[in-house]
Amino acid sequence: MAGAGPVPPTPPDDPATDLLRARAALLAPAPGGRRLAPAALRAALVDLHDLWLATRATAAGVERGSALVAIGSLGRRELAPYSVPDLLLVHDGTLPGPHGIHGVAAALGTPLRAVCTVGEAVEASLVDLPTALDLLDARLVAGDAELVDRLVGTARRAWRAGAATRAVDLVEATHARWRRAGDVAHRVEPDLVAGRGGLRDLTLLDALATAGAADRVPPEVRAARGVLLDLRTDLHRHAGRARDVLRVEDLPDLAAPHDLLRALGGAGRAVAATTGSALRALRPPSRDTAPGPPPADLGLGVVVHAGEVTLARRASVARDPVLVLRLAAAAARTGRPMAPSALRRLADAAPELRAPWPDAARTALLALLGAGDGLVEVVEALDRAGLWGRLLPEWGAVRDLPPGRPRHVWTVGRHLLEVTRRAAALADRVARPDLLLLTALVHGLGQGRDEDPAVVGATLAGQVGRRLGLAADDVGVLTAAVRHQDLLLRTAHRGDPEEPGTVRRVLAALDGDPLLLELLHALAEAEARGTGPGVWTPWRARLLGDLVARCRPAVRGGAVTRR
Amino acid sequence: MVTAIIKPFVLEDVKGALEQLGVLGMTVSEVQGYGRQKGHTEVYRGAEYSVDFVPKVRVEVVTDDPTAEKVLDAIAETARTGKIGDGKVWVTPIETVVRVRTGERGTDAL
Repeated sequence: MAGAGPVPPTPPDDPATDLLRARAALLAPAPGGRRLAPAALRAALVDLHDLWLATRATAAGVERGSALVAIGSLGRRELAPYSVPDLLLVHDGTLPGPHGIHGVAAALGTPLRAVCTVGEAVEASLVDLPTALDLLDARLVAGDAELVDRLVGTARRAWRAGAATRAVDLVEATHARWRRAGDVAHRVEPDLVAGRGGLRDLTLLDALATAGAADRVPPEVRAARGVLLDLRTDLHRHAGRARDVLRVEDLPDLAAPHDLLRALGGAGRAVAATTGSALRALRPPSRDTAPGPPPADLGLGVVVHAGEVTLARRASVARDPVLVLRLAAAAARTGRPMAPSALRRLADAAPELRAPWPDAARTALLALLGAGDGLVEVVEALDRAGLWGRLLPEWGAVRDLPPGRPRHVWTVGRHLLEVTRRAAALADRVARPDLLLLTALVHGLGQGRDEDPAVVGATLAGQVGRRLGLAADDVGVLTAAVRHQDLLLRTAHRGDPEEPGTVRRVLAALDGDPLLLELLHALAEAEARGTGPGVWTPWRARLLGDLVARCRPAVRGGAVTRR
Repeated sequence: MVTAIIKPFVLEDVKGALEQLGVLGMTVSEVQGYGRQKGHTEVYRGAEYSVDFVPKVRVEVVTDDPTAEKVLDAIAETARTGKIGDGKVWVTPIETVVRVRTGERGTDAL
């Protein structure tokens, strides 16, 4: 920000000791172990900081002609226990008090983000997006109220006037942040602030609403704000420091892990979906349609319109149970979002797919699963609309389930989609890509129960295979692949590959089936790649490849010769 | 510190043997390399392919001097299959150790 720039506090002795002591008292459990509820704690922290900062600033001479302004979480009255207050000192050219800005900084004991005039602040907001967003939350703490009214009014007018022209920058910055921080809803260790569907997206939605570029925030997003803020408050309190990434080891201390991730998943999905829609609406139409193919009829009731895949006017929503799968497959294939209105119509009126599914439904499902990178977003959108659970009722048990194994980046449901996405890239390595994709999708459905997940998963895989109308032999392969999903890696890690008995045991488990061996080899790679970064390594590839290479000739009656 | 390069499939047995000795902590890394076995070639369905580096596991155990020899023996015995490529175990001195959580130093930190 322009002006005199950041001003550090001048130490000799820490003037904020009494503030820290008061904060510690708020955080300490009362007799009997009772603690303030997260929202009450935030309100108390905001009041405490407002009072303390106002008292100090006033004593340092911040009055007519200057003002101490809260932005960020203090500005929004959402201060978490260990958040550092974000503060501006705004002036009209008059230096406050006898010691000027350094006197104020020393009195506050916390760095000032900037010292500037209203004009300088607004000028900075025109070239710096984060500053523009920050100023929308600006709030008077002490000093000249008129000056702050002018700051807020001018900053908001500038934002409204320039929001449309800054759309591209805003969209790109948001997507870059999402790529960096990942999804709140699906990460095992989500970033509650910067993640997609996190608190920064809510700030963005508020800013877009201020500019008139987004609708009013829907009720589920208002509820999500409470979930995210409460969890962040609890996380700070639990960690004893400012930390916004929820870690696996924090989960049991904060709540029952599955309940917590379910609540967080719902909140993150609601915020991410609303933010995604708002950003799409913000993009200039030419930018959205230029790189892709022109609007076109994709056939069988599905069209592309205004950059979205949607239903044709003549589509038989109420009579065509496969329509939802065709729409989804087309969206995944083309990399375009499905129109929310189409999803609402399908959720309201589409008939159930009866078991066994017709060939057309299975074909459309496989087209969706094999679409690669487009798969995840499409299934998430179907799930938000309540359509994915109708197709795969077993999904409810794994949707926001924490993984039972280390090194997993995703919740179980998302992990299954990530593995399927990776399996699509390996489809040309196997004779039956359809069975590889289905195995990838269902291999973890048995997670989260008391029994062996592979055994439960095999039963569920058989159930899914029969519902999908697979041939009996294929149901057998699907079931066996899920049952033995860990066989190759477990054997490669624990069995001596040079011992003939090791290969014999693998082949006995697979009943000598070369198709199963091939599927499990590809699944192991897709599984590791879909688990998280660094899990599929050359080391693991070689270990597994060596075992498979030794098994292959034995399946087919050959033998590896070594020299 | 005792460091061992062993075959991956003996890791569980080595872990068990060290637990018997009361050694409960270790660092394990996935590594690749070769020793006397060198790179070798294999023929599969008529095609020859080379296996330059073989997957191994590196185990590191920080222990006091009296235990180090026992750890070395336990690893060497447990990891032995009698075939080429069983690996190596060696002991190196450590200047000092600090337990990060408590700040304890020396043998108190083990």
